[in-house]
Amino acid sequence: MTSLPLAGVRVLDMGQFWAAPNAGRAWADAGAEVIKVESLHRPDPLRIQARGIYPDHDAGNDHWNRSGMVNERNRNKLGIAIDLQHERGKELFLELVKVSDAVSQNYSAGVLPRLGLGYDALSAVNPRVILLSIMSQGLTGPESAYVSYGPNLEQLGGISHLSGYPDDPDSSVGFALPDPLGGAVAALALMAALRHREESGAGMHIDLSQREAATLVIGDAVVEQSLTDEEPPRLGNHERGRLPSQCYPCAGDDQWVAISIGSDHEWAALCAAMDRPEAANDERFATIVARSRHRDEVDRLVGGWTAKHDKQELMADLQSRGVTAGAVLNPRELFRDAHLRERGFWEPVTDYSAGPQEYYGRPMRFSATPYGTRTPTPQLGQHTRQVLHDLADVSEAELDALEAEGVIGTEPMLSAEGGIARGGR
Amino acid sequence: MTRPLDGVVVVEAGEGITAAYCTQIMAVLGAEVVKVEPPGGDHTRRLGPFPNDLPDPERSGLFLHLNHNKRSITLDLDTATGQDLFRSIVRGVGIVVEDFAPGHLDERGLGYEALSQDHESLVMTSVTPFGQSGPYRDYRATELTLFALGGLANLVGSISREPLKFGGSPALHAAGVSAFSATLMALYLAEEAGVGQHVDVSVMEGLAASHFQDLAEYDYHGLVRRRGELRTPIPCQDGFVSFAYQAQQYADFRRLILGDGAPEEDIDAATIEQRRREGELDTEILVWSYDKTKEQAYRLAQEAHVPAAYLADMSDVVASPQYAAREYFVEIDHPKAGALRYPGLPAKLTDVDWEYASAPLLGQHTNEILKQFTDLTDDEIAEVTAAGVL
Repeated sequence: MTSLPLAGVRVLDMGQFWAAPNAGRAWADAGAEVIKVESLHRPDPLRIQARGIYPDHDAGNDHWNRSGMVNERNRNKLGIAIDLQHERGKELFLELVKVSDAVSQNYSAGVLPRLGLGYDALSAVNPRVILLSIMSQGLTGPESAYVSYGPNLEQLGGISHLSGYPDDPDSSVGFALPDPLGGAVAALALMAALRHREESGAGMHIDLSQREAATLVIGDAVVEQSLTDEEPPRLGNHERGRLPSQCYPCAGDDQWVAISIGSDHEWAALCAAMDRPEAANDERFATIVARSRHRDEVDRLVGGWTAKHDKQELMADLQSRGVTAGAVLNPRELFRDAHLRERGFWEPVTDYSAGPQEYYGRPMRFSATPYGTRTPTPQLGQHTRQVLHDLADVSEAELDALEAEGVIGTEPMLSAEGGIARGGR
Repeated sequence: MTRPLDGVVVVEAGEGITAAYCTQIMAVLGAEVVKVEPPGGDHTRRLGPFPNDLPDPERSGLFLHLNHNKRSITLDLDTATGQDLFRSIVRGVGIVVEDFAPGHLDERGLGYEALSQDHESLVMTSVTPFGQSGPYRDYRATELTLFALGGLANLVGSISREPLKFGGSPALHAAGVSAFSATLMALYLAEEAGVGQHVDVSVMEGLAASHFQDLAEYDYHGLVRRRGELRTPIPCQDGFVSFAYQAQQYADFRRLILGDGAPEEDIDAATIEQRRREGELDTEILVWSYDKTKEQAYRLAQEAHVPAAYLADMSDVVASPQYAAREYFVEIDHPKAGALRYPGLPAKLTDVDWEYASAPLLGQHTNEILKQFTDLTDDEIAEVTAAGVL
């Protein structure tokens, strides 16, 4: 059997919150040995700030191992907890760096250098190591020390201004797109750096800015502004060259279907589905120019029809007629979605403390090396002894002593602040 | 220093944003990208936006954004000759990235099965809205309908109104980013072990894997999260600012708004959230913000350790001092569209310098690509061109 694509690659994943652990998960899923590095004083903050997401609301006796948001994005990793402020802890971490291909981290700018673990220190013990710093605004520049979370970066990066209801310009919608994007770009950056090292033999420091990643995915708007000298407009659900394109209400409470019509032919197919064939030739609607002049009437016509129907049945019927449509799915419907089920997107796993759960998979499938969940998310410090013994040759006696001193262990030791690190998510 | 993907050669074909964006990043990172366009030109050449709204295949903003640093060949893949030439080019190259509808290339004898026959280590990445299998495989889709099916529209906007997509096409771009990682993972294995493969990337699944908490909430205790009420950002003289403080920054936030006299409180996250909902300090925040510009308010808050942002429009984005200090934007001159501003890579790499080249004119490199990858003579190229294949 062929080994997984990244078999033999070892990554020390100091990532916390969302973006960086997601990148670590991408490498771990693909077969890399990813070691999640935490400390007892400062575990992944989502272990502690779990937003009440415990199995059936039950935090149990080890709540830090039962946080849904941690468990869904750290599978297939090993987990160690080691105090990096302690001299011996630091030494042992550098021992691990010597035998690793990459270190990934998203602490605030300055945290690693202050610990004596900046790129120079890592590179001194392993010139081939790749350090990936997933920063909110990068390691350089006047705003590099600013604390920014996903929603801040969405606004600073220009996504928010382009998004929202066009008829309500003073309102703002948000998600935190720069977090999943940052994770995806980080996954990409490490792959590029590994390829580079294959050729050059040298490691590197990657200074990634999630704010820049946010602007990158609306790069067409950057070019548009430069090309036309005009501010790209907020379009809501309207897609250029398509009309109508909108979410229309369906039968039931908060049920919607998105419809996006790309040609007059597609419009005629929608009219046939609505049993209003005459609307295809109606001079108010027949062409995209006509429909753009009568948008409110188009919306009333289509929305009046969709409101009487089930969103899933509408989607299936419209798609069978070649009309672009998609039901707005909520979390329950996503978990039950026939398409995602058939593709095996949801992957079951029995977590160590949280029991049987299902987590989202990945957007990619490999024909020769199919892969999925191998092991659940590690408990805090679960593999510390094993990893330090196997990779840093630490004796059982010393491991016992380190444990007694609180340098390693399996239970958090939180400060009054709650052990929460400042820094981008 | 060399660039990370120096020596990698990629063929790109398709009809949308995803494959083009994936190979765009590859090209900037040093890969040689051969873009295969139909004789009439890539679909995005017709989408614009165009200067003064005048359609011109060489001045489409979307095309220019997606295709700089690449070479272009025109090839009619509906003809036997075009298919033969495509096969010849792929033989000389290790990687294909495409985003045609599932089955489109198979029907032309250019699918993974056919292309990998005599090329065991071929890596072929296919990016589609729903992937190469499953009941939605052949569904039509756009950014909007994918936001709906990927479960994000359910969360964006107001609960009393219709769900929303985000502006632009971030989902399609993100799929290009995922396709890049997946392709390089497969290439890593192909170079180590000589094993090629077909990589199947789905935009919908990319979105379904981009949720923060609502999937875990449903799985762990059955909550079905929906959109909330819209929040109005805080008005400043020239726009808006907003805060996103957490429990550990709450004291700093109160000091920012109320001054140094703000009393210290020991308070938990739930109480803070409740106070925020109830509009605590709303008036005081307005008193604080009304005489400031959005950027002043942002900097004052950040310097007081309060996470904050201003709502940047594109003019603000391109004028950002932070972006300027990091030289994020690059200028590329194009023979027809002129010198334009483009986003660069969102990361600095030790000792790696980038080179930027303009997007290709339609078919600009057809002859040199054919000479590089096929054994056609000049006469034969002229003949194929006359037949309308190029």
